[in-house]
Amino acid sequence: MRAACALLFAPALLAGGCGAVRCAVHPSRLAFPPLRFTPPEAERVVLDCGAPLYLLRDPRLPLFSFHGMARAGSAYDPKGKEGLAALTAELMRTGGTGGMGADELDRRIEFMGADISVSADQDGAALSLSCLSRDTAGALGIALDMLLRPAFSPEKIDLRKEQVREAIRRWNDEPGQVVSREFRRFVYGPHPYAHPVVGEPGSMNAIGRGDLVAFHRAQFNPSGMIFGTAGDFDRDALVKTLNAALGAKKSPAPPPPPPVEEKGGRAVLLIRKRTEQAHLAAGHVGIRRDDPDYIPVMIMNEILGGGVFSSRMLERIRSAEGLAYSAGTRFTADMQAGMFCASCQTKEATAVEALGIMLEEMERIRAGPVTEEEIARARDSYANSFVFNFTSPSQVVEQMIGIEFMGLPLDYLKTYLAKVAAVTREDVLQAARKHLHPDAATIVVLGDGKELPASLERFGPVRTLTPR
Amino acid sequence: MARARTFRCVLIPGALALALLPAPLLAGTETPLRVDVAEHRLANGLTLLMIEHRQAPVVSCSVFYRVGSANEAPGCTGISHLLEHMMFKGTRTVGTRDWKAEKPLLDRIEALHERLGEPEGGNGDAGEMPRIRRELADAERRADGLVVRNELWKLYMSSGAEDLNAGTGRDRTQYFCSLPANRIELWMALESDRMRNAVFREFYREREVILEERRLTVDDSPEGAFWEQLFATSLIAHPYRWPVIGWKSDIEHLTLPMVDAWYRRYYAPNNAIVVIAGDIAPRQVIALTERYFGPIPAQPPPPRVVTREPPQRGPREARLALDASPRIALAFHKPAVESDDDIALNVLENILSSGRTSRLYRRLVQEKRVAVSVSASCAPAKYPFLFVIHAIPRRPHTVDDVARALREELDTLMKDPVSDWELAKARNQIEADFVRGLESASELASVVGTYAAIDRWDYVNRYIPRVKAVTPLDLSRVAHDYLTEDTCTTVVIR
Repeated sequence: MRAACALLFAPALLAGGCGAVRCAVHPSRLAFPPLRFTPPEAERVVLDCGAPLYLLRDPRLPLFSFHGMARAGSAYDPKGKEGLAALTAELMRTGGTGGMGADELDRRIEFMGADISVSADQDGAALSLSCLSRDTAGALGIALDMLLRPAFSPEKIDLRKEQVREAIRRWNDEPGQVVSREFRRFVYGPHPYAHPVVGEPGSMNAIGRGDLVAFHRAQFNPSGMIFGTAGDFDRDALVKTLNAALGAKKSPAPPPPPPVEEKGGRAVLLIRKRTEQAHLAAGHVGIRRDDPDYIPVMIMNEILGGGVFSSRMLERIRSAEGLAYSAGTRFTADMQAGMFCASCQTKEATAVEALGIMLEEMERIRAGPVTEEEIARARDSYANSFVFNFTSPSQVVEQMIGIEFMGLPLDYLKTYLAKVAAVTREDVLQAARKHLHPDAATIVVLGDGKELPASLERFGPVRTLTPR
Repeated sequence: MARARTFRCVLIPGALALALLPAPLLAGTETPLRVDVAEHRLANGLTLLMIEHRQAPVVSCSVFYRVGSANEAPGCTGISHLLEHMMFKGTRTVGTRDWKAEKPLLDRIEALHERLGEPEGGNGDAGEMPRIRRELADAERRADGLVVRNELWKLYMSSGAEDLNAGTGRDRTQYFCSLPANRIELWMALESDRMRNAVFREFYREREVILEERRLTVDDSPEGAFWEQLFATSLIAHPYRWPVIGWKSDIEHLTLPMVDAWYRRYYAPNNAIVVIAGDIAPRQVIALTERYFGPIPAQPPPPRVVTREPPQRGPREARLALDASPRIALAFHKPAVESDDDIALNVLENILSSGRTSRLYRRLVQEKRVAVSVSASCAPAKYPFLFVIHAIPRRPHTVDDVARALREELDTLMKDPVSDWELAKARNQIEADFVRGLESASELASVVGTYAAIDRWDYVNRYIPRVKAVTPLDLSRVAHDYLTEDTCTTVVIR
């Protein structure tokens, strides 16, 4: 029956006959026409100040976007002034400019329906503008003023500090937030990647307006930034406008953040909080974004716990055992290091069982090669979804900014598919052995059960941690 | 527009697409830009909506069923959401190595579960229970050997699927994913198969998964618990009052036969909308849809939701004693999606809380500094629902300080008409958001499908003209009619 149906398949399409139910052709047997696709490419020009600018013109929608990336993330926060990078970014947006007061700027931006944001993460800070193309001149002028001439109004600094203090005051409300924050803090130890981007309790008191001015001057020099623009615009006029605004002064980009030192050894940390579920996290420092093993590591992680229902961890913990709603692993990769983290939440009675499975799966993928089926699926998934990197002009441009910001080769996207196709089972095994370290994993458990401390002892000496 | 607060997914949702609302594309010109939707109806009643969109060779595919927690009743709350999870377990061909061998084992497992579930002192003698448990464990082990776990998911992922997930809401359940444009037939094959031939294997384990989901997102989450309380207090009769995920005790008592009956009743082609957006050839999409979905028989129309929320006669308040920081919400009754007043309330939502120049942000956050954030939401719903204002107080200010400040602003709104500037700003923002939304095929599919499920898909093209017709007087009137103290429910964590 199946074979007969497979033969009839194409004629049936034309006849509109053969229904899904009667045929029962297994969907895995379907064949697809080839996908014809030439990825759109952004043009790269170098501005007079030396900064690269990516341009992708696409006038099909009356939209304009402008992006700028600076080495101005929380990794540059001075000790004791944690949150300075995030506060500076926010105040560039909300603190007024040399040309205009903060409230008037908000009125103009919002009346246009434009969207301008400046926000920091660990390594970088991104300025981003999106507006209707009829408003480009006005909106771009405002965005450039925010970048080049922020006024840092003391009143708006106060307002933001109060918001940050309140956010920190309530940051132990949601258990998931507590675990991910304390996990990061412990894994990175003394490195500035350890502290939350928003800041630490008390750190707002140590930051003054002068700190913002100085941080902005040091980190947002246009010649050290990377820019991009997408949508409906006049290319030559735009390049001219940017050169006029950003000037021709060349100065070196700020240095990258300091390197991360890995520490060895298992640690088990217990955070006491009254909950119905135990929240579990286990992991360690991971690879840098420019690590040559990046793609094999991502494929390995896809199979281990990144691929959701296609991954070993979720399949076992959720599908086979019914222990948790969410269970999985992540490798994040920043400029100087990344983080590997396996996580899961389960009722306290099954916390030890679930944690055991998490560590077992980390060991198993180091012990022997993954199956042909697993690697084929992971490679296919990466290769076939490649086209989703190009679904809008602004996405293409932002992606190129990210590639250059992280110091990756500028032909990264052109070699990507070949690199994915070349990953073997052996590569995955080597990636797991080299970059996955269950023995040295930091384990964070949040929960309330009386038996928890004793039952966790099997994973290593347990220390009780009081979250900040 | 508003966040879909209790939209539940088989996976933890990322940014859910409901934020966007449509508008004319060439803003500033007289030609209103529309979302061009081609509609096709199958003989079995299935609605097919197609949107051509050629940014990249990708296609976003969704099927929406007109069913959600509003169709449920006490005793079976959460059943729509549990069914959504079960739909990922496969069919008679997907997810099994040998359906003929698996079927009797699944029947046996179900029969044994029924025996275990019998009330104590029932027909069986107590000594039988350990034997039943052993037999059950044995049958489950043998059935496990025949399962190809998560095969549906794996087939999609191998094909490069993105945004693969499903979500259950109050009025609709949707299954969605984006694929490279050459793989559209895979979607047709898998979705038509699970519309007709779903097999609910591993049912009781999945019920445990949902209890874990509830612990994670409601019981241990002050924010989740807060919203659950808000709906349960502000509504006393209408089914919107219970959570989409269901009450814990109801989830614990949902059985496989109940879920199977729910599936047969609601997952019928005449209760479904298929939305395909992206790089498509509509004639080919119609041919594929006819071929794959056409043979599925229509079912009797599902029962209507008849319960109406009675008028609220006096303010209500709920206080939650949780280990969490203070927050406050005010909920007011508002009309269903098709009402013009609902459109005016949408504009009011924008004026009250969209952006730093909005009224509530300016007054409560920037000037009085009693709160650190404040937001209004006016989620579109098939039946009358709620307009909610939610605020986070800033210490040392209390929820009472915030409540007073909110009341003052609402009183002002009723007394003085909003300025032309504020109204023009709201229109501009709604327009610009619409144009941004046109960049994404998946966003378009989600919005068009949602309105098709709760109203009519052309809501998206009627929305902007209706927004433009709203006057300052309309805004004062709806504020006066709906945002009154007597019909307000206040929920707080102190």
